[in-house]
Amino acid sequence: MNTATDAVALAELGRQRRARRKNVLVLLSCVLAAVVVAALSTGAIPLSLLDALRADAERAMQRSVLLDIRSPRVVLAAAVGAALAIAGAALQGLFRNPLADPGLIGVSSGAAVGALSMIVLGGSLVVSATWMPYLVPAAAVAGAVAVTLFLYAFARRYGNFSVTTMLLVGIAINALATVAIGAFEYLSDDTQLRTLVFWMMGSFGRATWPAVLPTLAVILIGVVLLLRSARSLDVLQLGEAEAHYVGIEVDGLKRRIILSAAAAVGAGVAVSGIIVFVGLVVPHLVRLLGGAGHRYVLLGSALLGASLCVAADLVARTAVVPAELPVGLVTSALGAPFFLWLIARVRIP
Amino acid sequence: MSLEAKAVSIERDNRPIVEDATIAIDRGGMTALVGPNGAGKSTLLKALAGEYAVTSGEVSLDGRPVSGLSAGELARRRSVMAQASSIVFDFTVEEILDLGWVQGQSRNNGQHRAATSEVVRECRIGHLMGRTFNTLSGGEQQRVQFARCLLQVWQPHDEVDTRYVLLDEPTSSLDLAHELMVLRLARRYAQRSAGVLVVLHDLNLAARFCRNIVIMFEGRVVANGDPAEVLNDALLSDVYATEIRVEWHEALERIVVHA
Ligand SMILES: Nc1ncnc2c1ncn2[C@@H]1O[C@H](COP(=O)(O)OP(=O)(O)OP(=O)(O)O)[C@@H](O)[C@H]1O
Ligand SMILES: [Mg+2]
Repeated sequence: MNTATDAVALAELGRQRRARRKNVLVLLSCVLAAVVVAALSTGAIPLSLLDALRADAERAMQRSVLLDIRSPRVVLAAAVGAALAIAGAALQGLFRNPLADPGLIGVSSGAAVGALSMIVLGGSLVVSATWMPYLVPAAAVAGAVAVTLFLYAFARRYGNFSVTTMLLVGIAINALATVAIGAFEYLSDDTQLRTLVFWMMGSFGRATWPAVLPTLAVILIGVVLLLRSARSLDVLQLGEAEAHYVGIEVDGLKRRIILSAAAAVGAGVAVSGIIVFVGLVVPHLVRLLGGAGHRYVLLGSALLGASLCVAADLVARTAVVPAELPVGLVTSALGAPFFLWLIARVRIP
Repeated sequence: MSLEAKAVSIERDNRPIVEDATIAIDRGGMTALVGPNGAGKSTLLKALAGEYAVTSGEVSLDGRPVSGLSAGELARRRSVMAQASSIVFDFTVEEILDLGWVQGQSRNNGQHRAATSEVVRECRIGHLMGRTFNTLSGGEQQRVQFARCLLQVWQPHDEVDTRYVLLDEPTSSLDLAHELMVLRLARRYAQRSAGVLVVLHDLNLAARFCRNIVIMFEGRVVANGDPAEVLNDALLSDVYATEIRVEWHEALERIVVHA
């Protein structure tokens, strides 16, 4: 390829790029489908999907395992994985920083503190118990939004928000969150404490349809809103001032991205705890496969993030049967070395 | 009809950066904005672009205050090339050019492709189109950004409205051949009845390509007019605190400035 001065050659270039991205997305969809089938079929009780769905009395137990236990868990893992990865990709685009991850920069911690405060202190609120399943996610979303807004204000106040500064601020926020969480541990009773500890390491083990469906709804809304901002996120890569020159209402765009990313992360954290590195690793891999355009990166991240979390959960619940590992352990075991590799690779100013 | 700043003052961090500056960018030719480092050229350009708010005075585009125009309305009427910019992720040059299209304009049609290939040819960046922007040399990146900026306002005007292009040191990384190419292209664009403002440090180029020269010094406009009038030994030596001589070169038939 040397010159592309005529319209035909130019169009051809664009066509090639789009074709490649489409292929990657098709591939990622196939991977997700395969991982989901594997996750549904594997577990303490082995079952075959087709058999279990056949309506005869002998299979009732298998069917119930599939529909009431495994399915909500796999759906939750997929939704949370997609949410974390797409939020990671969107925050990286917003902060123009390839190392932004909802876990590392403290957004997940903010959600955790929000959710925990509701779990531990919510009992003293004068609301009926039926509202609690909604209040915890709502508090988590509020916590995630608060941290993201703070990060944004900090970035704005202190000028250029370099890669290093952002990670350092993330360390500080995570440390503060640890303090808050420690205080809640002190305040909580025995049962609260047990859920709290397991939850801090991340797990999809508490998935039931009533818990999963509202989460799914919020995540879906977040994902759709982020996908709709894809082109604006591309333009934002030219710089905030430049995006304004090209006609983007930058403040509105930032608000939209912060709110949708934080809502998706918060809703996920509320039911499955803190899972780090998914939002860091996944968008990076997607960019390596097909380039940096955000429509592609956001979609691809959602697909790959879902696959990754479903697979990690499969490992978490089958590696040490009959016990279960926290899924956060599995994703961190994969993510931390990757993070080191990424730090070595990204030019940190 | 012009893009103009009337008695504009701008503060940054509570410090006055530009004071009482008046400048009009008329269509049909190029206006140069020159002056020493830190004189306030980029700041004034950003106010003209509608990016910076002014503390007093007014910036208006064909009579309408820019503060009252939406980002979209402004983008259809003026494009801006910033002094420096960097891109973090690995976009291809073709994608970067695609970002030059104003939000909401339909892309991927015949007209769009024709305009892109025209700008690409004029800016001589065809051979770069498939490359990753971040792997280009500084000058190559600058030519791509220039092309993107032109593309934003290139298409045949669906309205009769004048368009404006604001270029902040568009040639700072270019070799002398590309420098001439960019300024010729900008001037030719201006002659399609558009207004072009260009911040330059090279006074010879300013004199050669621009119809009008504005000199800034310590936040103020100290001269504004025809190159032959504005460029004089005394004023330039004073502004730049350096011995400067301006001469008419018989063979070249243009003004030359020596430091
Ligand atoms: N955001 C800001 N906050 C504080 N001071 C600023 C800001 N932007 C610019 N300045 C100061 O305002 C003055 C004018 O800056 P400006 O960028 O407009 O200069 P310039 O004429 O474009 O210079 P150069 O030729 O070096 O590009 C400088 O002293 C600069 O330090
Ligand atoms: Mg400048």
